[in-house]
Amino acid sequence: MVGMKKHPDVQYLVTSSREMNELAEKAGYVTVLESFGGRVTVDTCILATPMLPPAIKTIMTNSAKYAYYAPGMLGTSVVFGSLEDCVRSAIAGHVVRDNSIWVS
Amino acid sequence: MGKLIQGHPIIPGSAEGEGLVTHEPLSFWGGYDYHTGEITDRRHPLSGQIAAGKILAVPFTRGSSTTTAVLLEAVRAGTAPAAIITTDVDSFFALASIVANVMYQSPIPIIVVASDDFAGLRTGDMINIDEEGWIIESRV
Repeated sequence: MVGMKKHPDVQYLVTSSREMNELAEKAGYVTVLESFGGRVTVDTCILATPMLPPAIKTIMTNSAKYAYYAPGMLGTSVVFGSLEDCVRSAIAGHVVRDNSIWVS
Repeated sequence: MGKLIQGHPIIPGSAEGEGLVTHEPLSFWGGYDYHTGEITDRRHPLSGQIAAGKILAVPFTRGSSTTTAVLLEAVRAGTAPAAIITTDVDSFFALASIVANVMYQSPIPIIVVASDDFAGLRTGDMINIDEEGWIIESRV
């Protein structure tokens, strides 16, 4: 992610707790995330707080909870992937997904 | 003459309505729209069905404990099921009904039935529940 940027058509949202965010700030991860174009929201989630621009119709997420509830609660379609898939997709501007990690 | 089932009333009360039956557990948080009474869990077999005023038979809840708050809101909005039938004591439903009684004087009957009896319930049947937990199910 260092030195890379998300695609302009993609919103890269991170939800976390205040405590984790502080640790990430100390470790320097938040600066990297922000220069990538990401945005951190603490102590809530996309399902409980409106943070998606209405133009967003598809969510890619590594959260099984978001993937399960988003179609009913936000009316979006969903792609479930690993964190790495999410980052690659955010850079590419389309879904990049490594299916091989889900089969043993 | 309908089929007679002896249920165990967790929150006693009488109710009558059309049965809406599923064998898949459901979370009301993220799965029930209290504005409309629609089941909005898009992966649930009852997705898109309106449960308001019906007798909802769901074996148990799953997921968030906020199910209680959503059911309570549905009672306030008049979009809650008329009664709920489960296969075991479900504390999320029971709590919502108890608080609905305190806040709105409008408890929802919550009745537990044996799994065998539950398996015989059908969507669309007329279901009658009395204060003692007796359930009459009639095909229409």
